[in-house]
Amino acid sequence: MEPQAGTSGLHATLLNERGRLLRFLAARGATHDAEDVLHDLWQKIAAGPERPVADPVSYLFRAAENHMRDIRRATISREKRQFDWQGLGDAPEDEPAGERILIAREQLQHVQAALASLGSRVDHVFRRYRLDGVGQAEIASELGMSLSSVEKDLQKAYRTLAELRIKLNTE
Amino acid sequence: MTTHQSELNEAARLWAMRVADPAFDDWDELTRWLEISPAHLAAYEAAVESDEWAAAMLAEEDTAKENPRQRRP
Repeated sequence: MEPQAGTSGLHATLLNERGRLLRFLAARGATHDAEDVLHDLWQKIAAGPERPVADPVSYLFRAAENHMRDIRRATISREKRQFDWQGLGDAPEDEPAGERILIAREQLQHVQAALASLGSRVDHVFRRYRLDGVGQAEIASELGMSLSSVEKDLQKAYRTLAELRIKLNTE
Repeated sequence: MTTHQSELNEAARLWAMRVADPAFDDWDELTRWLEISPAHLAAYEAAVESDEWAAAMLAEEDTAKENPRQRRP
């Protein structure tokens, strides 16, 4: 099949930026397999739907980051299945669905309360950023805030939520 | 937890937070930071997981019937 313009443009960028991408992938956990991972990543991109890409370099790095996240998620769930199969885990997938929903709902309430405790502006900024996918610069102009104030608000939310997650996991 | 570890976690959270910005474009700097030590990658992955956990929780907000979204539009 004839490659479409967008995809061949991306491939040209990939060849140009190959060194930077490989170095990123290696540092990001692919280590010695960075070449294979980049190959797999390209197969994934090429198989995906054609879409306009405004900034091919950013697009490829973002795709590389997401690819490493996918690999890690797959590894964790494989290890977990193995662990449960050996009868070592709590096998939460065997828990009644109702119980899992209750736990998730309770965790959500903790997240909501933690964000609310930081004040309505921090709550709003975090939701715009993480739920609506609006960048820091846009949030700053929407709210008439400086970029560094937006960053400080987000840092507060991130720190609080990370502490909450540790607390919930160890309870 | 040692001070060093908590400083590392803070730095990792800052990276996870910056990467979540759709306009993030500092991949080479992130690469250099990750290359400093394997502990940086571990801390970064923990920060990413925490970030994704919170975002996934909030994304469920509208489907959690007993607890409707209380935020004003």
